[in-house]
Amino acid sequence: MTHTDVVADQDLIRSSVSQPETFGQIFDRHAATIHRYLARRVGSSLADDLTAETFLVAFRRRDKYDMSYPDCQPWLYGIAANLLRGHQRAEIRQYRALARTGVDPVYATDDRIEARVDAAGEVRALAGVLAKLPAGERDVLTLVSQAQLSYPEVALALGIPVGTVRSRLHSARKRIRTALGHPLGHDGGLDDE
Amino acid sequence: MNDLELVERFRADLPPADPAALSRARARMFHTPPPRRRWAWGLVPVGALAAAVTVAVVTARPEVSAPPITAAPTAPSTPATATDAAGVFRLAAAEARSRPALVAKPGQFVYVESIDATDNVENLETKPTWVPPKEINRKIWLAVDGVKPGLLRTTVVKTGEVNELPLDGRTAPAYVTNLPTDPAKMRAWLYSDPDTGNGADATAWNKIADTLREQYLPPEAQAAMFEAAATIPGTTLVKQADLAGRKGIAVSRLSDSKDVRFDYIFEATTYDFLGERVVVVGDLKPYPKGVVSRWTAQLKVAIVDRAGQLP
Repeated sequence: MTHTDVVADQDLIRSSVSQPETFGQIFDRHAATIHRYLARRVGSSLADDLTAETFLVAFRRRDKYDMSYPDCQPWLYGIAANLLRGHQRAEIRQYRALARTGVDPVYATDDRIEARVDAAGEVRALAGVLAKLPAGERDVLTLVSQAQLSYPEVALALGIPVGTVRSRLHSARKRIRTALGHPLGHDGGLDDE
Repeated sequence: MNDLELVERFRADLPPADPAALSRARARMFHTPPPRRRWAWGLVPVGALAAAVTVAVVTARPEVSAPPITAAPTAPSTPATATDAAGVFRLAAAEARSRPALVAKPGQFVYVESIDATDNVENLETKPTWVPPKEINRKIWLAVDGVKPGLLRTTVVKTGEVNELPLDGRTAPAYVTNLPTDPAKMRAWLYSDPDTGNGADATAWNKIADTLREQYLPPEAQAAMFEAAATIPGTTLVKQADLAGRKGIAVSRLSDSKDVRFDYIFEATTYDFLGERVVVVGDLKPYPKGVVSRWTAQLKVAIVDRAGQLP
């Protein structure tokens, strides 16, 4: 999450309060990363919109940024995770479809790539778990393992204590391990509801 | 492969973001009119407006071209009804022209009183919640010639909490005498700024608001402004647009993203300029659809001798 830019995010954000165009550099630094996280959760096309919304919200809130944090990525992830809450049904529908059919709609609807038709059993099982996870656990799990944030960064992003990050992650991992133990079994999450 | 690695690899080979999509997102960030804090310019003297952070940038492509009205409005005393956006502007121009100019001397102050209401988004990091606009009464004194320091007095309408802020002197004159009074020249002036990236029409449209806010334009310039505005494409008419308890009619333009509508509001029968507002018309979380995000109503404009003196 650290980068070697000479000017820290916090300085760019501070300066963008009076010179808005400076915030463009924040976008240039982080937009692709935030988009990638969003795309992995809801697919590229919705990620396009949500990336725009994330940075629009960030831009408007730039004067509220806590200048004691040099790296603003956790803040951006937090905004993105919040916006995802409004699209949970779409996200879950796609996990369910993958679990059920082995075809990942996120790939199938992206016309830049070949559709995947034969996801491994364990991927299907994982999708089944992702569909059933409480939203808070899904946020923590994906921010840790996909966005590669540290526990304190996840805590900062989601506005929760580090202890809660640990317990949510523990719970989510336990669910996955159980499902992998029985990939198509009773806890595999392959049922429709 | 353990459970975390499995999650880590899940959809890890998705292709990167489409550069065109990112570039659209970047543009949208700068060019969507902020529903909040647009009025931060209130903390700086009006003369510094051109450089201010928060100038509303509303973009729009011409969608509904406003046909020119054939019958020019006669006297403002004649009850006339506009049926399109351009017509409202033309009637507003006639109304403005019928008013006597305020007389001012160097050293005096332009006094403007308005109600400004801006919404907010709270709990952004946990549960973003839209909070409706909070009304603030603004009284501002700005030097007619821009020389002496000005004053801003704000009163939170609900609580009565008063704040005073001295404003820098040595700014642009608040009594604006250097604008064209000819509609064609005014139109050229409205279009003279570099395109902010939203299209020339949107840039011109925004310049109207920036010019009318908290400064005084003599009647001929105001009238020329409205007549020039009538020629900007992409405007629509909104008939029900009440503002601060006054019945209004609005001339509107949509933002480029189509999420936000920007209204200039005129009194429904006299076509006196009442103010502006921003309406969320699209799906823009966490804003409820259809809410007014911000509005400002111009209540009084006068010339006084001292900053802080009420007319």
